[in-house]
Amino acid sequence: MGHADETTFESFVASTGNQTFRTALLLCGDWHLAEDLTQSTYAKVFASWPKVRRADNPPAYLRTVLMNTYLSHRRLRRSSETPSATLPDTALPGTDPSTRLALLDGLRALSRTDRAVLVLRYWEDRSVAQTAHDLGLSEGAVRTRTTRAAQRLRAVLDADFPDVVADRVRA
Amino acid sequence: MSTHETHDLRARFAEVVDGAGLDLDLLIDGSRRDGRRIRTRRRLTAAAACVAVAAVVVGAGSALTGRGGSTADAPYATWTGTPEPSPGQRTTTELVYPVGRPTPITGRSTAAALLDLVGQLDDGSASGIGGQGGDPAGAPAETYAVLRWKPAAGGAATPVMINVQNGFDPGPDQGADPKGYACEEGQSVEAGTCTEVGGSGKPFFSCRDDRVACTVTREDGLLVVAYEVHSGGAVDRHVDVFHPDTKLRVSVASTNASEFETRDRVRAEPPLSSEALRAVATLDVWGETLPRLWQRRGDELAPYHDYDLVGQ
Repeated sequence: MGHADETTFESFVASTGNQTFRTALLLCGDWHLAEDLTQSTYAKVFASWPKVRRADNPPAYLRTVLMNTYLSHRRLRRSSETPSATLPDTALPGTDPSTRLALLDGLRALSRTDRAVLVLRYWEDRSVAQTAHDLGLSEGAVRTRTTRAAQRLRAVLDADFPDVVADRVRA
Repeated sequence: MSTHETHDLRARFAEVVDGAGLDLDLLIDGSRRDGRRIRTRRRLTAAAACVAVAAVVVGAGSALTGRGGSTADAPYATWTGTPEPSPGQRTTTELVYPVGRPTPITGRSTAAALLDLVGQLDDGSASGIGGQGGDPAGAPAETYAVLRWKPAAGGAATPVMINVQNGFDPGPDQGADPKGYACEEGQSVEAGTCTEVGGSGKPFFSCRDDRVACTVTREDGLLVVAYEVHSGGAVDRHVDVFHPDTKLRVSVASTNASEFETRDRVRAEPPLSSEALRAVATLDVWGETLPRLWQRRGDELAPYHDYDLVGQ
């Protein structure tokens, strides 16, 4: 790979890196795991950069690599995976730590696939059809998983923050 | 979900990750370095010299900051290079499992099963037994179990793990008819032919970028991917089995490092061979249930590390 290719890779990371990390953070619920997932993803992209660069939609390729890497991660949870130790308040200004922990706890209680479905649908704004394609599921399965996972996540949030949820629904 | 609730969930996600970011220069540097290692492994694999050579060639850890004292940062120097006895595995990989009433699979029963099966394959002792999973809500059960296996023949104890994932969907290329594994990256199977689809990575069950000594076979209708991941002398050895008819995935792994996915090598080789891992992963006992005896034994495991408990 020549210098020009590396510069292009730099600009690609610069334009997509933080969004990818935030997606990884929602998937993993752990700052360090999200760092690992993000770097593993971009390493794979770099290793295939000539092909990625020529792809019709490099960000879509990146998303596929991210999801495949996430779903292939063998261990379901590390012993060090504790929200309070991984999401320092100073790193996320303006966010209520309790709300954040409740949401991450709720996400972690879901299966990996359900978590991926919710993150793609509600964070990446992917349609049902696009999410089905990204994860290799049928559209019906995506709808079912979305409803079920959102209800389970909602139950966690309602239990911990009924007033907040009520206010937002009324708004 | 109602529109209000959808909007609320979207807002919650944004709120949680608002302001989160990485040092992108470090991310670029680390990704380049790791990406070059992946390329190196590809070349080594192509040259059929992967196992002996990759351990020398690959190196360097993650460049991202803020990892604290995780085991991923443990020094490679913990491996002293002292010769150790051979793994002492038995020559047979014929495994037996209990008969009896099936009970819903749990993290504990999975751990008991792993302990039983590894004990049939190798003389040794286990510690650090733990697990996670089983789904009381009725979703397809996913369980995980891990133990540290110390072969009687000697050498350090290292983790052996298993994931049992019911209802796993590997993607459109490998759903009902998993033949997409033979295609290259960015290709999909259409009418039995590999076709460029653009933007799509390699099929899930395939010899993807970071895999060394990788083989993909079909055995009795099962899709079996055996491979290793090398990192600074550490070898994570995996066998990943997918049942296309039932969507069951069973992934078993052994390492020569103190933990999976680290460079902290403490043995010359993982205690379990690829054949041994394959014997465990392809056993026709895995699924939504396990024999009740393993459930009982799992309930009696102590100490047992429950990864489902927050803070564990």
